[in-house]
Amino acid sequence: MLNRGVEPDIALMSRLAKGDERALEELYRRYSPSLYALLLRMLQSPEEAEEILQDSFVQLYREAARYQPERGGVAAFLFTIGRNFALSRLRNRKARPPKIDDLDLHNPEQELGLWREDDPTDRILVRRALGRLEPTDRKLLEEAFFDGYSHSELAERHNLPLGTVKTRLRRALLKLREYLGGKAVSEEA
Amino acid sequence: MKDLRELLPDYALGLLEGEEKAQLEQALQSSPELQAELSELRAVLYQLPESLPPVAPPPRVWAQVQRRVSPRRDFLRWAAAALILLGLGGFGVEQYRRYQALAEEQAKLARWLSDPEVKWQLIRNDQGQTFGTMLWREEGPCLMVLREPPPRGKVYQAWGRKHGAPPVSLGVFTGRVFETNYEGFDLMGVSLEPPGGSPSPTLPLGRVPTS
Repeated sequence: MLNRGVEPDIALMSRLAKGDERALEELYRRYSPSLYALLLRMLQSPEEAEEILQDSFVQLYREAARYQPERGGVAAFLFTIGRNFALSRLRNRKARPPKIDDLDLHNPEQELGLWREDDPTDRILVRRALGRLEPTDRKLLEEAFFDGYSHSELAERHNLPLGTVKTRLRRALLKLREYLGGKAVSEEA
Repeated sequence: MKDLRELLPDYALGLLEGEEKAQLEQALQSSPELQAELSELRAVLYQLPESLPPVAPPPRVWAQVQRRVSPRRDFLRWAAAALILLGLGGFGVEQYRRYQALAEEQAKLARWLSDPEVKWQLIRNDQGQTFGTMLWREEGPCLMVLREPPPRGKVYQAWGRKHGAPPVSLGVFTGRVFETNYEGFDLMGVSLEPPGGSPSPTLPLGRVPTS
């Protein structure tokens, strides 16, 4: 993923667990542009995305000692924190805000994070893998992941039985794993 | 075990609730296989943000994170301010008042100097001797900055003058900086006066043409 720096993420996490703020700064430099993009996509509000981004890194700092590398990478650990914060924000809202179609990229505060030495390879791979999913499966997966829709909300939005939504979501995620180079799965999954 | 495995994608997506969630979480505690599979699914899932172009957050976010993880810094700032105040307390109230006036002058000057629209000209007498600088903006406000504070027992007085008319007093000041407005005057000047000022300049120091 993004870990092509000199010091591995895991080493940074163990420094962070000892309270080394420079490790936090390096992790922020590596992951804040992707996490901010995710939060903007989920919340559709720069103010709330900033707030949750801030909370996520503070939480990463506090929870660094509890991080277990065998349970997954640092990026997934951080993104889980950020996404969970965003999900509870979304679920507390009475109504979902309309989507912002395009972020204003002329806004100097929303420049593309190219300074992060952005390598579009991952983006292309993920987009290609998503493109191989059956279109409804893809839509369900994206709406569950980015918009935090529950099974029943998805069933209603797509006019599908609840069981079908569950099956399709599972299939989408397992297929994505296969396309991104993980295990192949049989169709009955 | 097979049934619980099937719950993993929903769990990774945060869509599992109630009994199923509790059951899976309990099983995860004791099953390295389930844990490994969950990590793998999460790794895949959290590649989804990679499909979005990264966006650099505004610099204030990092500043706020730093502030929250190091409250120590805020404490040091507070302690430094407290020390200054305590030190000033030793010098007495008068010194503190002067210190405050000086700080206000510096803040005012910094505000003016940071404005890219500001122009400036020297305040000088007919012999070319300079006493300070006048900063001004087109729409009328100006700041007189004198090189030295007035000598003991004297004050500075600012004047505005229209050609052919007597000078109009704009106020007296005991520091080095005075903010006023030059609109409607052809000349701006400064004089040294006894405390309280005078109806007309007694010891003019210098002037600045405004047009």
